[in-house]
Amino acid sequence: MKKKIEKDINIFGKIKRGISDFLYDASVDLHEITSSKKKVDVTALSAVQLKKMKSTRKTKELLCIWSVLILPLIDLIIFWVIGTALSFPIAFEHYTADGLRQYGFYNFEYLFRTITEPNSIFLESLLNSIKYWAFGFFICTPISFFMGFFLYKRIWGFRIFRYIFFLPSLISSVIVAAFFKYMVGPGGPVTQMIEVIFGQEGVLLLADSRYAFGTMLFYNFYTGLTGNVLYWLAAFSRIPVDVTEAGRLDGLSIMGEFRHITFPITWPFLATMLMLMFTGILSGGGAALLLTGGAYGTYDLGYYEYLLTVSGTKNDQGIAGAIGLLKGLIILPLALLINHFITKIEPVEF
Amino acid sequence: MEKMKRGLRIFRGKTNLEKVLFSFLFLLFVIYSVMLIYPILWGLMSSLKTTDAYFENTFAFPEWPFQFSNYSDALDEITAGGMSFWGMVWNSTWFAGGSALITMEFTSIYAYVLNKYKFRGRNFLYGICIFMMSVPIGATFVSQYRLMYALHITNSYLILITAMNVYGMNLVLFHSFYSNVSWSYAEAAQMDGANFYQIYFKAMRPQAVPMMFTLGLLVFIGKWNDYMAPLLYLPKMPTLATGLFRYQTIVERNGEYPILFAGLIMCLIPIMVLFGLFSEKLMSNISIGGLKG
Repeated sequence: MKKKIEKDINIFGKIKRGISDFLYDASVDLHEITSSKKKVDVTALSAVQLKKMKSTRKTKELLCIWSVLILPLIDLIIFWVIGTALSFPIAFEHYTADGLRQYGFYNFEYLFRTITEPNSIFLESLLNSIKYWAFGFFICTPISFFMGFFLYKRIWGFRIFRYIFFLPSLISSVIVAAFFKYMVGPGGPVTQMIEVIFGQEGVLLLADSRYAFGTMLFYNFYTGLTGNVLYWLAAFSRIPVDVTEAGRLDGLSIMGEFRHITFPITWPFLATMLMLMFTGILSGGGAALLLTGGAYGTYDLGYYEYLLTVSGTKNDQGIAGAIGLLKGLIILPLALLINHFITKIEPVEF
Repeated sequence: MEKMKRGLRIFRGKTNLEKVLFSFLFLLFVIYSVMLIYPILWGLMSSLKTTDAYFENTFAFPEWPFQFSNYSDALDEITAGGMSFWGMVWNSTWFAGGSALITMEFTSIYAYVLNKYKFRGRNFLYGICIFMMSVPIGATFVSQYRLMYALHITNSYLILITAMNVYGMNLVLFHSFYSNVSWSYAEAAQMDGANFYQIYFKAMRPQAVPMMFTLGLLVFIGKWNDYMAPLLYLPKMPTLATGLFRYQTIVERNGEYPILFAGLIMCLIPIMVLFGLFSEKLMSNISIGGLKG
């Protein structure tokens, strides 16, 4: 039976090979016929003609290259160069009651004036953004680094955990936020649990200024914890197995391995990631748009800019422009400084 | 007995302290996993309840017979900006699919040219990409918003031209991919008389297709889930994500939460199916992305 199958395969294989050989020969013949018409005897050409031919070929190649690059370049010029250039006049523009456009420091003056006022949304947004960022940087990142390490060390069920931890990246924030919002909302399962465990009735975690910001931080922690785990995991997987095995043979415990092998080897990657995170210091935000609409002390800079841009007047848009420009002015030197340090990080040799 | 042996194998080579540590962390991982999965299950259960049953006890399991009619109601009732549910599905599909296709095609050929051809400005163009990645400076939110409206590309399929922005991590990945592709393929094609485009499309691009597919899948998922860009630039052509977001305000007035949950679950299905089919490829790709990062 087995021999028969092999024989059949051989017959089919031979037929298939025969057909493909025939088609290949036919395509070569066809190509030779068509290209022979175009062929130029290079040896018969003079040096000048040869140079001209090379130059024409080079020009044609350059044309082809730029034909490929041109559309993304136009895209870059419009949306990045012009977009960035437009940021400047918008930040300085102001409309009078008559609708006349003027340029000056009105928007910046407004921001610096309101920052000192009580209940300033700008101050609240600024502080919250820094808090969100600090929470992510100092709490979530180290925890996710450890989580990645133990997944790399193949904790039981690590394959399943890897997939489950990917869920927040996979599912739309609109869906995750909606489920979260209604779970912690009035009568939701979390509210019921609080009632049973703590005996407190009707605790509104997202609709009470005592809890709303904390709940937003928890939401960031809950959805953002695993965002980097897979990246850490990828970095750990580069560590040569023989290095860790040698360490284990020398009597290193799991934490010793983390301290003396894993951490130093992955340090360049970790340091780069941490430094890049620094540039996001003013971009930290919760899901204010999806969860609270900025109410109960949950504004952040991103959401404030969004509101001023979409729902505000032209003057509000100018203020949004000023916020954006200020953010850029703070982040640019920081980013350049960080880049300077990143280039100095040397990879660990092993 | 066999199970016991298998159970012991997971402790093999570990000290007592490590066993305790691993057990404790395993427990934490399980709790966190439950926290991640439970909201989806809760949404699924809630989508199978009647509105009265939902308000009676949000914790409880749905009673038999399940209210599958919520799903058909969701198809009829969930509308946004005059767009039906299926209209929103179509908007999500072209927005996500078109963006993924355009981004991948342009990024691949852009990286190929930068990597394989020497011409003036090559290093500058690659440098721009690295600069844009490491220095997050660019148009402010409001200038981008005004620019899009000034160009009249909002509320139209023209929004897809923004997907030609190839400057990012994908370009770096493709650039490094083409560094490892031998130029001898192109030489062989050149000897056969292939021109610039034929070399790329017949000899080089086919080798990059698996990578284009997996990275494209990630772009597709990202765009399918994106709510901010469609909310700002496609208000009259809402995608499923923005439509469901807008529908929440209606639900909060009429109280038809089970129908909203049915809509949310339906929005999840295409992504979960894609993930189920290509999860291994996606995970390995993310690992590669992580390494190159």
